[in-house]
Amino acid sequence: MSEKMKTENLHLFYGEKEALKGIDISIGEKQIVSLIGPSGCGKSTFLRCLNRMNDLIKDCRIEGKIYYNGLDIYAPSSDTATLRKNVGMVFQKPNPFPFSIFENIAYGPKTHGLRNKVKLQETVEKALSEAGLWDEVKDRLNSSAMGLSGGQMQRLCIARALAVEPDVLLLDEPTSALDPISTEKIEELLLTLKDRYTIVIVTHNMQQALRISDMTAFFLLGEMVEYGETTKMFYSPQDKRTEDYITGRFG
Amino acid sequence: MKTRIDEELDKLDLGTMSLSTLVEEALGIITSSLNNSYGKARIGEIAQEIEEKGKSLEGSCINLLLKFHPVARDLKRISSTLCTIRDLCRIGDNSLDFCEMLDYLSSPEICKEIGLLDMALNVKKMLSDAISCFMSKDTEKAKSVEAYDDVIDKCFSEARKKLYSVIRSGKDGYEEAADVVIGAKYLERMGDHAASIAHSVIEECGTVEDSKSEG
Amino acid sequence: MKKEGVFKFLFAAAALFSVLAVVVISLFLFASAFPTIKEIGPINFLFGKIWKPSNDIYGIFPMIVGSVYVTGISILIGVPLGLFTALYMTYFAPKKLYRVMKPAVELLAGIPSIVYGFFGLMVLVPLFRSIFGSGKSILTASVLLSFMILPTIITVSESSLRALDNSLLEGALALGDTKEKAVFRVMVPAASSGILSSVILGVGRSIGETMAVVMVAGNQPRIPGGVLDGVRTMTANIVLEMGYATDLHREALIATGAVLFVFVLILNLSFSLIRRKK
Repeated sequence: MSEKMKTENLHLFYGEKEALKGIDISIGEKQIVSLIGPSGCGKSTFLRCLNRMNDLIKDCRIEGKIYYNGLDIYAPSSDTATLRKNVGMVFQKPNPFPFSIFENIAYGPKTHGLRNKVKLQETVEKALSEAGLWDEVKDRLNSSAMGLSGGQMQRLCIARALAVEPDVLLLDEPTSALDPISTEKIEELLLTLKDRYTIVIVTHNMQQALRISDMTAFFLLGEMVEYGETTKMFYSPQDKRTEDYITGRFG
Repeated sequence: MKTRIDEELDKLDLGTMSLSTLVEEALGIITSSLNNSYGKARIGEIAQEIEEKGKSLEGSCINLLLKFHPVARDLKRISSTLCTIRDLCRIGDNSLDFCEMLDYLSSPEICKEIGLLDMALNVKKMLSDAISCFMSKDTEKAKSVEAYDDVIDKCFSEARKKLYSVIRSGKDGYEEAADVVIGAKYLERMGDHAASIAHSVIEECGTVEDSKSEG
Repeated sequence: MKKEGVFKFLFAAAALFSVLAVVVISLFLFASAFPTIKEIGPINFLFGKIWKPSNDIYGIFPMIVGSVYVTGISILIGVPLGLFTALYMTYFAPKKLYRVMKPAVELLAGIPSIVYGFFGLMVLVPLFRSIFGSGKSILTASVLLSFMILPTIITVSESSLRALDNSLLEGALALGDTKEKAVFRVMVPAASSGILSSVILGVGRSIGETMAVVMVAGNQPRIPGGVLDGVRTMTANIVLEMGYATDLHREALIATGAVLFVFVLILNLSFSLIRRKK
């Protein structure tokens, strides 16, 4: 399996405070990697490094290297817009734009220069179908996205990310604000997307990590304590800190 | 810090302890029956108690799995406890079957003659060791208990051989040889279940190498 | 229980008072205006191009045109300027600069109209005279008015933008858009209701402004030919002549006030409709 993304000795500082302490991780293609750990351990911060979203935060400094398809994402020749096209992100709280469903999905492609109406229509349909939302909204593409339910909104956000044809999807606790049925639908969706995309998901729900991910990384206080096959890690963790966290013996 | 699951697991261990006490009592009845002492009447009662307790403990295990979704060492512990409970219940069943077989025989002395008393004593010892391994999580001892199953198997082969000579010689009780061999088989099975209890300790607490090498 | 009743009554009374005030003002205006307009003749009054009270000619069309031009151009200047400033302050200004800009804008809002008028008279008028040849004109008045409505547009737009969820912007950026484009494509539409409100407030202030306009607009009661011509707004018309007007002349001025009032009503109504449509 080839490597899709990699970090080497990644450190991140918010001013003086070190939030990530030397993360080395290799993410193979077409698999689901979950990032687990207690609140404030750095997993979301790490996720945001992968598509350079941390650039937007003042006083945020990075040391070490991050590679996408073997190329350094901070190289001067690297372009953030292209990186974010290839490495898409879905956030914890669904954040559809206050436009129509169609305009929401078309936003990304339009940003990257797609103007042809027919192609846009095709792209929107393809993205919504991939996200399992097409049948539910095909008759109301021009209605506002704000009228959808929470679960539908989140699938819309996934479709929106898929519309720019990324090959990596980053999801930051995508189901934590949703009910169990919507959660299940999204987990099913991610499992089908695994065939075509590399998926990295931050989750607080260890059962979710067990259900859907191939590899799991455990973060604690800015360090990556353990990284391995999910079922192995949850059955026989190598590090005692990992075991204490997953068995709820923390604190 | 003791968490809720720790408390529940401790309760489960206490339950398993009392189940194993009942099973040891059942084996005691077998050995004393083979020695022509009394007490066989109790076996029916004990077997009943074993079945009920076993069911209730199994239910507790399932409940814990449901409630806590345990992983890692908690999952391993509940898994091995569940195996142990089931093995103990099977030993209880086998004890009842053995005593019923004894009742049925017209000349039960033949059992002692072909060595079933020694075999039963060995099984009783093996079970006692297996249970103490389970409680102490001693993997080294568990390995030796597992290995001890060979002794039980040997006893069974010996008993079978002796039974053949009884049949050939036409001694008293040879007509019931088929039942006696079944009884011997029950004892051998009990040995297997005791070995299984020891094995689950190795699965729970041993290293990867330990669980790869079969006892 | 009794105390609750007392407060309920007080609240109701206060609300009633506001409603009563509007009703009383409206009644006064329209009660005077209707007979006056009837006497002058609605077409003569509203569309008459000549205002000569000495000859008993009361056509306020030039003043209506004047108000519309001056308000319209001030909006054309003030809204983009105000909106861009609000966007800069919300999304691009460094903290230190913001800490200077915010109180500066608030100060601008507090300057009395007459002071603006002086500024216009002392600074803008000579300046425009030297550049364009004409000192007191529609242009001068519009520019001055745009200064006056800027703080309103900036503060209301800025608070609408700040009230938006930042996750919207993050979402746009995560799709590969630049901050500059994303701010226009996503945040401005999302805050459109608030921005529209700021525009309504701006228009309201602009159309009702009297003192500052009087000092820089020229006040000639005739239809202007271009932006460099002087005009008289409806408000200026009232304030300039109210001091000495009598009889029908005075009634005509009150009627002008009524017309102004109607303009404001139509304005508010149309913006309400637009907002409801959203």
